[in-house]
Order: sequence, then structure tokens, then C-alpha cells
Amino acid sequence: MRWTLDYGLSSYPERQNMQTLPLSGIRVADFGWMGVGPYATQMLALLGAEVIRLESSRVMDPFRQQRIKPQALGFGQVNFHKLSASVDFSRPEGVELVKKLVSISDVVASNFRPGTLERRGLGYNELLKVRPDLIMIMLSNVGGTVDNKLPGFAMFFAAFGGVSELTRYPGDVPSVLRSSMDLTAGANGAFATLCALYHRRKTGRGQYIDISASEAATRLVGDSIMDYVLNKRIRGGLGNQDWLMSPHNCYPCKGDDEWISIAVGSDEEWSIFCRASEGQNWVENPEFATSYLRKLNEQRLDNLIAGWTASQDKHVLAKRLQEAGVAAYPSTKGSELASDRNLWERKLFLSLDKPKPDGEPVVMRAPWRIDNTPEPSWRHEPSVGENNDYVFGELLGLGKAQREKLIQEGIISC
Amino acid sequence: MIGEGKTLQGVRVIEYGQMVAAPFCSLCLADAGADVLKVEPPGYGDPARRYGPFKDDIPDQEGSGLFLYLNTHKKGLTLDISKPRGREILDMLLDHCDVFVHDLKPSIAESMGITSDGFRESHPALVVTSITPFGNTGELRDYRMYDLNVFHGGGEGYITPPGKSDMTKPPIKAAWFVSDYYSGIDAASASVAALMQRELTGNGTSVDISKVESVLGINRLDVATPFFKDGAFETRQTLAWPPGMGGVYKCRDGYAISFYHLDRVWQDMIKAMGNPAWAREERFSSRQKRIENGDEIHDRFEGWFSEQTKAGLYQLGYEQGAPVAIVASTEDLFDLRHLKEREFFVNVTHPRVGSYPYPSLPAKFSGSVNTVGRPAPALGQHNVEVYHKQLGIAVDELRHLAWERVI
Repeated sequence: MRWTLDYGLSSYPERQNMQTLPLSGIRVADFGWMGVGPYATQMLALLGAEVIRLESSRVMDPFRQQRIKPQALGFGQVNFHKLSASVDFSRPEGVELVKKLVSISDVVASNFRPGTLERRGLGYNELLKVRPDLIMIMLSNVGGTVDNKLPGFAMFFAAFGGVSELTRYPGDVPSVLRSSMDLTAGANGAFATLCALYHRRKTGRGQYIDISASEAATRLVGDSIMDYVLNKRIRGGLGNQDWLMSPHNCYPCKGDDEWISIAVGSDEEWSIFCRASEGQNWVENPEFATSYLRKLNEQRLDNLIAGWTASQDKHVLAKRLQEAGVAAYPSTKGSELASDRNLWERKLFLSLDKPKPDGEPVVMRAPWRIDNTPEPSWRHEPSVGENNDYVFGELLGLGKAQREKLIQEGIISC
Repeated sequence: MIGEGKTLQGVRVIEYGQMVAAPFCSLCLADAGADVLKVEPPGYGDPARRYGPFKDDIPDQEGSGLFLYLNTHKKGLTLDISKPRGREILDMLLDHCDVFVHDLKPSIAESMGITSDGFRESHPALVVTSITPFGNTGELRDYRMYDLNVFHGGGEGYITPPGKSDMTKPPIKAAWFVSDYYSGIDAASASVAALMQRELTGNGTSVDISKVESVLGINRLDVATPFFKDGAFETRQTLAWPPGMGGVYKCRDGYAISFYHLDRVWQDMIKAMGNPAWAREERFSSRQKRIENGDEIHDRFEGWFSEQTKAGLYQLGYEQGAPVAIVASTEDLFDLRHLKEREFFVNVTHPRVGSYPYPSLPAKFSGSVNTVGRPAPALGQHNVEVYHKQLGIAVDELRHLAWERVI
């Protein structure tokens, strides 16, 4: 490890106290579709990058379509503050347009099946010819170098990745996990892109990054993998339980499908919990005096606590337990976000510049707050080709007549 | 161009973190090539050292699997930052680093002056990343929350597991520490973003990560969108697939998940099943019809799956594109062809525990080599190297600091 005192501050521009978004000046050509790719570039857009969705008018992003359950496809949640240019890159003229845009972009992102862009002449080596320091981020199910036909939906990443196996009631079937596994892959994509941007800033060199969504899921269970490598012990699911702490579960509360999670991490916390639940029959009960005994008698203890919580309001109980110093919190439903004072105070939700008439006026911010960052006016998610004039006209310098010709030929759609 | 240095070459990180979230943040940075110094309280160190799993279940503070996984590639120091001299030494360390990752309770960080203007002025180029249950502001900021509480508080619990059956069963959390890992990767991204901002402004900054918001954020599609859209929101019931669209099936040696919501995907599935005559009947020819006759499909699939093995099902997916994924156990992960081909597991040799394969970063960088395979540090392993050789603290003083349990 080198311990130099030189931060290289002398090389910084003389703009002390300037407020700027971390990625201002960075442009991303975004082939992302569905959940994984768009979430990665959503994070970059939230950091100030100009993200331009490149959409083929022939293959629509399924998230734009109302298919299985319209309300579940939050296109806007992963595509706001981006621009959209529509170009048919199955045709050579379209490929040329894309290359022109790439030549003035810093990052290309894609979660198409590996090989898709290469077949169109848009592989990394081709793109390097127009942009020598390009960063390309390729997200796929199990990695771009693996010649496979494995499926590429979020629940499959959780299954291959080892998360489903470990998510279940004891002795029950494994669980399906949903979009969180797509977005976990996207979050890893954002991290890798940021690292590559930093690296380029320091060295002037771009690179190609190949990310596996199922490996991103596997990272979430690394600790369980260690049990296998150390002891050849195959872990299953514990439901909400922990292998040391007890009580450690979700308990029913008053109302329909209302729950509170309570976790007692040590004997010291147990005595706090007992003070906060005075009069209950686990207090001063020698069966539950130590974490070892509580774990041995966990089922009985869980039943007793469930009986106690069942008649109580989850918010009131959580507040009371937290005030005493016990880790307890209500199980949050999506419907409760609107009234979550803490989250609104923390401005987790963003209003977009043009609420669409059919809803989605509000989206969720990046999962971080960075000081000294200006708050831009957040743009709505773009319709297909909404920014064609800006992208093809202003950025690529095509005159109106040229653009109209390309529209007539179907290279640009409108 | 392969192999030209590390991605985050030269980035110096100090981590003061416990268990999973903050250590995972700095692990991601270390995996990408940053130099990470982990600072632990003297005596017992990070509680992850006591959590296990241990070899043969015998407790050993140098042998906890949780700790070993989350702290590879790091160097280790001990320091009691609540003591005045400990705090001075922390400031000396911070003078030599780019990112300080910590998980101090907000009120404690405040009382230590870590959030003050004075601290910022004395470390103008430092990025300070804090990871706490609810972030550094708001009335809940000092709440005590374990991974369990965060997962349920962040809304993913309420939709896990999706299923139509028994709604009197509680919602459950995913795996063991999933929500902590979510916030760890977010914190790592934000830390690098702050370094990018420093490139533009010359100034360090503070990054505030709320674990609950990380869980909400990564579930934005299932938890947040529906509410804002039309008031309908997902539950464990609404997120369940109707029979005829997919399910979790028992096979001979475990489980598999199959999902065949679209005609194209359904065709891939029945082709992999050998195109049985029943599946080609008119009653199953569209999604709507398959949902109407879903119970029959479910029964047929249960029968077919019960004769399959995980290895065979994996092969059908790998070679034919069948929309089926085996539910991999921690053992299966070591047999999966795609993980082998990518060399996802990297051997790390620990002087006391031995040589074992560890999961690595899910990203391969063409322009840099990152994995160094350094094992997790023993408690205080690098005290002399850093405190004496690098910071210039006299060995004589180190003896006193050890006696006073400052290090």
C-alpha cells in the first residue's frame, strides 16, 4: 500500500465550492431494456450523466408495453431523467448513426443477449474504432463469455444464484424472488461503470466490463457459501430466524396481514425487551434466560410473542419497543409509502417535470444522498424517440432535410 | 490492454464497520482494486468474527466464514476511536485516505464531531460514507435495526415469498443478510461517484446511505410503482404466478423454477419436455387458455419434473434455452458450468484457516486486474506496519497504547 500525501489536488480545476453532479459531462448510449440495464443507467442519470436510450422501433422495450400486469411494470421508475432516440440499428444506416453517437459518448451500456450488438457490427472492438477510450458495460444472465441459452429473468438469477434456496420457511419449498434480483444486477452494473469512469479519468483508458446477473445474486449469499466451503454443510432457509439470535421473527399485528419484525441480538437486548414487555410470561422465565436457551425453545417463545403482538397496532408497538432500545419495525406495504413521514422528510420521492396524465407522477430517488450536489429539475421518462431532434440534430449535426430523409427511410422512427 | 493496473488503483479506504453492510461496501471497493484498511475495536473486533460459520463449528475469532468472506483483500488495524488518542490516530489515518466508510449510529457520529463543519474543514478532500438503518437525518435515524428489520421495513418482506397458499404465515426475509448487501453495493457506488465529483470540484463530500431506502430502491418496481400508479399494490398473493404461467417444482434431487408466461417461452418449455401430445392440445394454445387450464398444467408439470434431475434440467436450459432454472444450493454453485467458466470462485489462502474458494466480484474488467487474493486480516495484524512504519508512531508508544487498550 502506498501512503503518499499527494492527492493530486494541484491537477484539480480551480472551482472550489462549486456544486456539481458527479457525472456531469458524461454521456451514456443506452441499449438497456427491461429491468437490469435501465436500472444501471438510471443510477448514472441520477448522478448527472446524460443517458440516451437507443430504441429500435422494431423491438419495443417490454417495460413500455402493458402486458402481464400493467401496474407492475414501472418503466418510469427505471427510465426517468433519460433521453430517447429511436433508430433502427438492424440496418447499416442505423448502425452508422449509432456509431456517430458512440463517438461522442463515454459509456455504452447493454443488457441484450451477448452477441446481439456484435452481429450488428456494434461490438466493442468496432466501437473502439470510433471512440478509443470507450467504456462498455455488458450485463447478461451468466456472463458474456459463456455460450449458453439459459433464461434471463430475475427469478432465474435468484434460483441459479443460490438466493431462492436460502429463502423459505424451514422445511418448505424455496421462494421465487422478483425484480430485486434484476435491480441487484443493475446496481452492480452502476458500480462497475463508476469504477471504470474513475479509472479512465486517471489513466485515459476505457474498458469492457462483463457482468453476470446471477453472480450478482450469488454475492448476496457469500456467507452461506462459506459454510459449505468450510464444513461442506448445505444451508437451507430459516424463514425469518437467525442461527444465533432469538427472538428473531415477524409477528402478526392487529389488522389484515399486518406484521412486525422483532430481533433481539443479545442477552443484554433480551433484558431490555423483557422490561418493555413487562408482565408477559417470558419475562424472568428461566427457559428463555440466555440466547442458547431461547434458541432451543424458540418455537414456544415465538408463539408466546405472536400471541402478545396479535392484538397490537404495529406502528405503536414498534415505536414503543424502539424507544426502549429493541430492534423492531413494522413490515412495510407499498401502500404505506404515501404516509411514511420519515421517507418524505428525507425526500426519497422525486416529482418529475411533467407528470403524465395516466399517473406515475412520483419516482424514487437514488439510494444515496451526496452532499454538495445540486438538485436538478428531474425530467419525466421519455417516449420513444422523444429527443430525436436533439440527438440527431444538435448532437450529430444532421440537418432537417437529412433527418426527414432518414425518417422516410425508416431509419429514424418518429 | 489486459492487466494494466487495478481499476481503483491508488484509492485508499478506511473502513470502520460491523457485520455486513459497511464491510461489504469496502469489500466491493477492495475487489475493484482500492487499498482498504479495516479498523476494528480492540479486544473482540468486528462482531462478524463471532458470528461464524466456523470450521467444525468451533468458535475462533480468526475463522468466522462471514468475516473471512467480507474482509478479504483488506488490511486490519485495531483502534478504540472513543478514546482521545484513538481518535487522534483515526484523524491521522483519515489524513492519508480518500474514502472513510463507517456505520456509526448518527448520534454517535455527531457527538464524535464526524459530521461537523470542523471535521470537513480538517479533511477537505475526504469522502465520508455512512451506512445506517435510516440515514443520518429524520426522526428514526437512531433506530436499532438488524438485517431482518431492514428487509421488512424496506418492503421486500411483505412480498416474500410470493404465493397463493397460506397467508397466515408471516412474510419472510431473503437468505441471511440480503438487505445489508443491497446497501453495501449502493454505498460503494456512491463512494466512487463522490470520488468522481471530487475530480471536478477538488472537494471531498459526505455520502448518506439509508439501508431501508436501499431495500426500497432495489424493489422500486414491485413495491413503489404500483402505489404511485393507481393505488393497487403488490402483496405475496398478487405477485404469485397463476397456475399455467410458472411455478416452483420438486425434482428428483431438489427444486427448479419454471416460468412460461409468453407463447414463445411456453413453446421452449414444452419442446424441452419432448413435445408431449397433451401440451399441443387446443386448450393450451394461448396464455389465457393456459391460465384457465392452469391446474392441469400444474399437475402435468409436477409429474414431469418429479422425474428430472437438477443436472438434467440445467442442461436443458443451457443447451436448449428451456425457461427453467434449478434452485441451486450452496453445493450446486460449485458445479454450475457457467460459474466454472467464469472462474467466479477465487482461491484465497488464509494462514490459519486454510485455502478455500471465495465468491468474487460479478464483473470482469478487460482493462484491469483486480483480484489479489489477500486473506482477511487477523485482529490488529497490520498495527505495526501502519501505525509505526507509515504514521511514524514510536514503538514505545504502541506498547502503551496496547496496554491501555487503545489498540
